[in-house]
Amino acid sequence: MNASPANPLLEQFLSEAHDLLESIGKKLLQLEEAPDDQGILNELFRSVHTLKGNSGLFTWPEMTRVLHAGEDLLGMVRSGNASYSRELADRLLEAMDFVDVLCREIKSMECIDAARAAESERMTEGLRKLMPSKAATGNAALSGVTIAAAELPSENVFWENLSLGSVPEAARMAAFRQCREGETLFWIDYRPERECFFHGDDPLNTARHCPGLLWGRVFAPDPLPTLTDLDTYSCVVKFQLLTAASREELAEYYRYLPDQVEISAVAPLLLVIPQGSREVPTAEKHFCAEALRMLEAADFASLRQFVQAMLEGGPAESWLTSAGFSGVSADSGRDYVAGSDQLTPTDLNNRKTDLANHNVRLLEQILAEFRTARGLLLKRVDDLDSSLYARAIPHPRLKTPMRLIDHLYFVAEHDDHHLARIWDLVNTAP
Amino acid sequence: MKRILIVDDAATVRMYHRGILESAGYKVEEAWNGIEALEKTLESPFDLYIVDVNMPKLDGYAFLRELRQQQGPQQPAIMISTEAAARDEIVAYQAGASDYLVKPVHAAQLLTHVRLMLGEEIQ
Repeated sequence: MNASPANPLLEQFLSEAHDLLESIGKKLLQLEEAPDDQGILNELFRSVHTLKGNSGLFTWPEMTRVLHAGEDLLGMVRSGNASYSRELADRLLEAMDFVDVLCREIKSMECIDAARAAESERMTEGLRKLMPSKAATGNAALSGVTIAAAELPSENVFWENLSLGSVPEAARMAAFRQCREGETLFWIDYRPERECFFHGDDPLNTARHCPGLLWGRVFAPDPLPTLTDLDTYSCVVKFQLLTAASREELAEYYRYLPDQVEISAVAPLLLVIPQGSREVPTAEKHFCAEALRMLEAADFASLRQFVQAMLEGGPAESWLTSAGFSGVSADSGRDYVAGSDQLTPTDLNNRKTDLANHNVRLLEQILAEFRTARGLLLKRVDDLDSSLYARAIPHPRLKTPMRLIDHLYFVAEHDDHHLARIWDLVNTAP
Repeated sequence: MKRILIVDDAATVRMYHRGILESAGYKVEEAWNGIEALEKTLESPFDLYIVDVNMPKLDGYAFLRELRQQQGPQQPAIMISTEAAARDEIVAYQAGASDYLVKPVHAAQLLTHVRLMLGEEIQ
């Protein structure tokens, strides 16, 4: 709806906004005297809610956005999830002053100056910062929905946590870049109750309208019965979603489904994953077995080399060299840290892969070493100063700047090529 | 002429809905909360109620429950909310709503639902 000076609805809006802003200001001051007064808090919340609703009748996102954040913040104070404080009152007063300025602007100019958008964003951000965010400290429980903090999984669950592998490469790459720009992404496992249709739920609709949805899929986690045995009144599917919505938005959106959703903040590095089999034995197990064998055989030279490899990704590197890993794990990573002006050229005379003679080695061992090397690489990348992620260094052969993430994707794809070949050999073996 | 009661604490929203409904030929009255709406209803029941959720003194849910208790399910009531979640909609129906719309409601959308609720032809 467009605002017009001759529009009586606009005049009504401005008049009511004036009254509401005055009332909001008074109630904020009253709350400073009596911060636990639920009655004042309820009235305050309702006034901001009404003003937000009114603004929604017009096309003024700069105003509605700020009021929405104010309403959310007060809603959290009202429900006990945030504390009323002097800073909170100051921010809300500041936000309401901003809304007042916008109202005056509308009154005199019949519109809102485009330059207000950035100011509105800042104001909204300031309000949202006051909302409890426990990503850095642990779990956040809002409205019964628990959201796990972002963590790299421990070694023993590394592969089991790769459900992100179902996200197509391009979507994961885009998501990773969003993470690196400071956004927190969330992974949602939504398993609707079998009887959900009888409760009035519409899981597909709920999943499709998940705020900030970047990617999602629906699938049957268990084998489906035959069509004749299928109970169409029973929900047998599960949803997996990747979203850029805030934890508050998700907690609010899924507040009635706390037992049916698991929401986890995504550690950015989990998005950088190779494609291939997940059925890989633990590296530790094979490393220990192999090391013990060498020890018992008093083959100390091999043992030293093997331990060195475990520590530095060495023997795995001899295999991974051809997969492009040497560039990152040994050279390029250092190039990024050292601030080199060009990536170290690949050693085309490198014959480590040939010399490693993988054909006589156990497949499990090769894969275990690969996994170890991958873990070391990811840890090394995770330990890097995040400012280095954005740094681009020219590739000597391609003559194009490559960021670390570009290089990692290059490596992952090359790596996938080798894994695919290995599985091809496994599947065609007599 | 069909009579419609708009129950909303926001004068701007009442005016917006009133404008749409009057231009379509309905007779409209307003109440700014559930208490005032019940008082007006006791005087003379309306053909349709358009009810906001969040209001002072008596909110939309409580109003609908009271309305249904006093007068049964005869008159249709459209609840208008800012919440789009299915559960909010269910709570509204459980309270006695006949229809549920999420703000902001567009003019044609409102009129379609009103006509549907009143058993009129949808134009």
